[in-house]
Amino acid sequence: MLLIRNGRVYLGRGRYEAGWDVLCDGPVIREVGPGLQAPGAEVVDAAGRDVYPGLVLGLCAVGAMAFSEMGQWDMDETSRALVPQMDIQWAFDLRELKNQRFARAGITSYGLSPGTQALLAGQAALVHTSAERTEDAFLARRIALKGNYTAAVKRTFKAKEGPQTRMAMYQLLDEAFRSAQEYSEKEKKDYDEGKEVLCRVLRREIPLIMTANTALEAESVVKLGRRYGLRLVIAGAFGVEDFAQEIMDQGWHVMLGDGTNMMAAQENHTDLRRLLELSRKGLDLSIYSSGDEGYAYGYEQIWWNAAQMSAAGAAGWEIMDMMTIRPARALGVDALAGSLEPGKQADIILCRGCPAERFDNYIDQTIVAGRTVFRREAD
Amino acid sequence: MLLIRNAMLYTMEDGAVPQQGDILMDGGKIRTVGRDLPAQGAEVLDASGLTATPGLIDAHSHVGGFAMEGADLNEITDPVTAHLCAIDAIDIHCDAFKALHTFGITAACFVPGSANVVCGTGFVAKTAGDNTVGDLAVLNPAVMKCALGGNPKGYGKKGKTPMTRMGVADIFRDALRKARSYLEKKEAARDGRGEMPSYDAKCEALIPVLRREIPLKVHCEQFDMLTTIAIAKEFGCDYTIEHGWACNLYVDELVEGGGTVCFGPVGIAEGYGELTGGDVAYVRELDQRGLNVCLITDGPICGPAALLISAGEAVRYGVPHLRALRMVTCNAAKALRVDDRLGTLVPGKDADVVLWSAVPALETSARVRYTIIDGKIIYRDT
Repeated sequence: MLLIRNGRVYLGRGRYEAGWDVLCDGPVIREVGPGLQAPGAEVVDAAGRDVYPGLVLGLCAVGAMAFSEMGQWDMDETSRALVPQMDIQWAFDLRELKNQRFARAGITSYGLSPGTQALLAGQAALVHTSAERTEDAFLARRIALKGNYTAAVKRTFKAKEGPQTRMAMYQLLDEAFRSAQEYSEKEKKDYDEGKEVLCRVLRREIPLIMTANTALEAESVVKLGRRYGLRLVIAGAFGVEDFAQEIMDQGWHVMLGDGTNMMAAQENHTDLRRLLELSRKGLDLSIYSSGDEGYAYGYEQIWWNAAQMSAAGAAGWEIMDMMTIRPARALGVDALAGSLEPGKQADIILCRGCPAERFDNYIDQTIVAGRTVFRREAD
Repeated sequence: MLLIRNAMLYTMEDGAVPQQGDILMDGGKIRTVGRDLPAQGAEVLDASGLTATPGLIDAHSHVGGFAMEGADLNEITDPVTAHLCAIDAIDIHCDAFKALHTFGITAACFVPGSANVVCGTGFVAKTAGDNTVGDLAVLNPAVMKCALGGNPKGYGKKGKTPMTRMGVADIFRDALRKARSYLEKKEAARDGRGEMPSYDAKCEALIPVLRREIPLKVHCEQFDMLTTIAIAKEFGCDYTIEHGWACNLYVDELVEGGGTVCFGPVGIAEGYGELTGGDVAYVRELDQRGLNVCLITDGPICGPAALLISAGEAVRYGVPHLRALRMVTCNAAKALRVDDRLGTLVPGKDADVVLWSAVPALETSARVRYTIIDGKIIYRDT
């Protein structure tokens, strides 16, 4: 048992409770409240500290990239444009994860996801950022289908069998879901793993996370989602503020891409202030760390985008929600992560204040599954 | 004339503490910095509640020359292109270039890419102003851009030299040796000993390097920085280390070598080979050990917002705030040898000032309210 005592505990949606405790039992949170008692528990004194849920990074392929094999990265199966049956768990390399600085950045779990090249790229998983064994890293497998509706798809398949144009990209997706629908209605059929995955998407068991980097691309993704009644997460989503009403009405999620990567924000004319306004009117918005040219080269960039959001006028707690509960909900894993509630994973960060407000509101301690995995050295 | 009234001034002078004050500018220069300055007929900008810093300086940028639809900064036909000039490739009229000043970047060093061993000269320029790139230039040539490591090894894929780091170092040293011999012949001829060598554009371009008038600006990752230090020493050149990933492993050598480290982009995932050690926290030790350290965006690899954010991230991982702010202002000016004009808010220097809504690199909410270059307000956030 681990008792985090007397912190300023963040409960989401701007609610802080001063002098509260968080009691962790093994890897999960048992209780959150004032004056908790747990004889024999290891005690962490959080006086003068803010206590937040650890960050949930929506999409990231670090851990499945196979950096040593440049050009043959393991997250992008680009032999065909449609490979929904691919499963990121088979590309996960614990050693690659262990080399990273996720915990220092307060990121405690992330959507380990297939890459940015194939039209339907495969299935994502939720992993912890710290684990001793591969098995322990996985919190949930096959949580979402990841696809890409971007120029990268055209570039990747131009010299192959296509698609070479956005016309063909849309048609291929439409046909994939149509034929999966037909497959689901057949009584007698040959098992098709890819179609099985698409059927889960059609039944809304898992979300479809589509990267779209321009307004045009996002519009097509919206059209697809509407036509097949999908649970949509639009990732990247630069410029989506121009037509967000339907996205809001449908309850779809916008996972805003990295505006600091390359010239993403400039070239796609993202207006963070308008997006923030929409978020306050109910747009389900989160931020992550990938830009418009594939996955960014890191993950700490989620803080860079937090700073951008702050400069656009967002309050610290709004930004914390965009990095915790909202991405967890988008990935459909909010029963596991994203807030400090009994039964959820004990993924917790202790900070000097809200780290989204000041660069020197240091993250002092990061706890993953009830284990302290990072402690900031004293100045 | 422009008078900035009542800003919180971060002058970035050695030892200066932030304090409330005014800045009077005239003829593109800072005339006076102080309290309650008389307006003397100047336009007055009420900066109450705002923070003033020198314009940010990105010591390593390709913005305007690396548009994704057509790159103009890598002439991959010859691994030694010392005679090529970045100033002939930077498009100051493109959207990416025009975005720089809206993020508080008022000057940058624009350099060729890293596909060649000796890539060509880079220049320092303002990010807005008159009509042509020549008008914006502050110093040209300012640096000789070079590259070690994986990038120039690209020739190897075509069966050409260099295909290894040995080949890279050989070409680098050979180019400098030829230039040295060329210079010696020229000087001898001038003294009436021997004939003037026939004009060699590459050697001509390297003469300012040998005379230490401009530094080598060398793309280095990992132990390539040791190669740079050794070769610079061999030929008596000044150098700056660019990118510098994994510089934490070579701190003693870097301190001994004395050259500036332009670190970044920061925040890369820990990969393999060259792709490791992009941790912004490393600048803390370099700074403590007395090295001149800059943070860079390598734009457009990172967008212009990343320059200030990198300084903020340095603070997040333990660098004192003012030290981090130096890494994107006066340290860059010093590394680029334009510190007589840029980098601090001091009378006589160029009137390049940014007014922020909050304290930059400390409060995340800080955004540019005004960018002033050469005493003119060229951007205001409405």
